Amino acid sequence: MLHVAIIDPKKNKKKISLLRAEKFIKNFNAGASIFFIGNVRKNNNNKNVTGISYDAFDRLVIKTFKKIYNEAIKKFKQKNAKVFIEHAKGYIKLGSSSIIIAVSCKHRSEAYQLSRYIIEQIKIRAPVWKKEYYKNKKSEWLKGTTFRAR
Amino acid sequence: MKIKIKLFGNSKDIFQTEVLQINFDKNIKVKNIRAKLIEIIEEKHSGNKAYKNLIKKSAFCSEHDEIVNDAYALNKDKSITIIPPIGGG
Repeated sequence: MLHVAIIDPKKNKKKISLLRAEKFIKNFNAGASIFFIGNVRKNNNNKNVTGISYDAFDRLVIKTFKKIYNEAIKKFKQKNAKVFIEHAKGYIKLGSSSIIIAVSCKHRSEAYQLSRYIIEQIKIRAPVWKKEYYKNKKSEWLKGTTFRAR
Repeated sequence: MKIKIKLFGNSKDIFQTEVLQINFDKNIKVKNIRAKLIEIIEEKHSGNKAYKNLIKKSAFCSEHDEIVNDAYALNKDKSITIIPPIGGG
């Protein structure tokens, strides 16, 4: 079972939510729940970060999340796992969350595996772009991974 | 033939828009679009190397949300999306 969403706090009038994640993955047959939260951190490449603006190709991001989920449950044989993925879009200030991945499985080992696989694949496959804003008022798009020649 | 190019990430800043519309004389391939974008950078950004590299490293995505290679043909008025190097999470 999967929940995926791209949430722009300005447009959607809500933020990505740990409470929603907890509610979605609740399962009395699951002995393990893992919550991964990606946050905007203060320092990157020795620069003082004040926030990150996320751009996303929503349709392709959702398609990619679903593809990664299907691969993951097949790879780790976890068809009964519940997976919740929400990614933020737009400006996210320092300390706020940009992504939540929540997973519930029968055992902890598989829950850790699923969660790790999903975030690592999202980092290299989901069409999302980050522009960092710094204390000195400058900003910069981060380099990222190319899709070309794959 | 008018082609709509949807832009994301850094490419929006480079071309100062979210969608570029470019007229081409005949049926074209993705490689022609890539070359045209580099040509625009040559003209408007004095050949900025970082911008040109970004276009060279970018992938393109069809209207069917499939990543396509340089040989992909756009044989009528269509739109295509540029996918600069990604970095989510």
